[in-house]
Amino acid sequence: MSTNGDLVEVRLFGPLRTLVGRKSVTLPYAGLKIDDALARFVDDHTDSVRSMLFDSQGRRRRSIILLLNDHTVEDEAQRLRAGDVISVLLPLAGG
Amino acid sequence: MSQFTEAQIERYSRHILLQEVGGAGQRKLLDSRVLIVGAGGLGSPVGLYLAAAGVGTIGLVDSDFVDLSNLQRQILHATADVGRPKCLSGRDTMVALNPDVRVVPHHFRLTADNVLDVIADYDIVVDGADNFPTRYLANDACVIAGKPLSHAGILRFEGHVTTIVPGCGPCYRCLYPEPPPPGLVPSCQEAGILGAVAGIIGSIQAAEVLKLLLGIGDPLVGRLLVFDGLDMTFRTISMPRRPNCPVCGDRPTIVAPIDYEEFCRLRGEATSPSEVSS
Repeated sequence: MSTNGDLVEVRLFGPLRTLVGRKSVTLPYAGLKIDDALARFVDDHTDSVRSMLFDSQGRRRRSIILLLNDHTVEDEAQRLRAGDVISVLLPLAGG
Repeated sequence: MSQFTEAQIERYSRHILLQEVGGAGQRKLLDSRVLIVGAGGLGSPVGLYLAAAGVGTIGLVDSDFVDLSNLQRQILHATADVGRPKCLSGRDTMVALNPDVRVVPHHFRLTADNVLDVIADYDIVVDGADNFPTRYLANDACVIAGKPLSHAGILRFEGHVTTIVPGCGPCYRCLYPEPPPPGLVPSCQEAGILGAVAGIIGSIQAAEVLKLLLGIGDPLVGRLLVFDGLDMTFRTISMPRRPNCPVCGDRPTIVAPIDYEEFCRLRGEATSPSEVSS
């Protein structure tokens, strides 16, 4: 059970938004490291979502841009705080 | 100003009026050479605006042919062009708009073997391709050759744009060191694209190219512009250069173009790339 004090927003872009069917979800991820939050996020979604974000060895893919509060993540060990916004961008092939 | 004809002074008068352009800037545009990779959704507005602006030489690379399904957004081509090579149809449209402009059609795919020779003739490259192998190829070749590159990608209602100036900021590989996994990032052919989104994003690329040619303003170097057409919002994200980038990093390991289809397949690109910007 979550309270407003532990909510983190995950903003989704591009094909990930299409797959999840929402542009943003708010989840009780405060206190988690960003990779653990992403792992928790994919646990609740389809395998396609998982394979967009993690490879078969469970490593975060290098084909995504991950932002914390609109900035690239400097310290991966940092724990999320309530109100933080994670953005997940994938490259767009279309032209 | 004596080097302009009267018709040119009239044609470019709204540029020449701009203090940041003036006669000298317009002359610079007429003497400039820009290569557009992909004569599709992005390449169309880029080509039209660069031709209208009087960019003297414009190369157009596309190995594909105009299809009826392209016309909803690829405004370089008309109904009568269906079945024609896109680079020829695009050339005719651009030259009809502005006969001052020389358009060089390149009716082939960019490959690791030809890319450095093709881009050597141009000052700036515009990436309007529709597939990851061509995007990585254009990026690596431009970094190796030290050429500025305007990059953009579109899908559905979204668009991304950035400007890559080797040595001055991150490259495409700094943003995305590896291509995405097989079949999970769809093309416009699979997921659709609102035609006007291609127009918005391509027009931003054209403005960036003109700014770079003129040496004015602040280009999107080190910044990724993310457009959401449903919300009608733009956000700008600062992106750092990666010192360990294999192409533009401190100790580059990619010093010549590689086999990109193999690279993207190994890294998980599923669909076979077509040069078409669809």
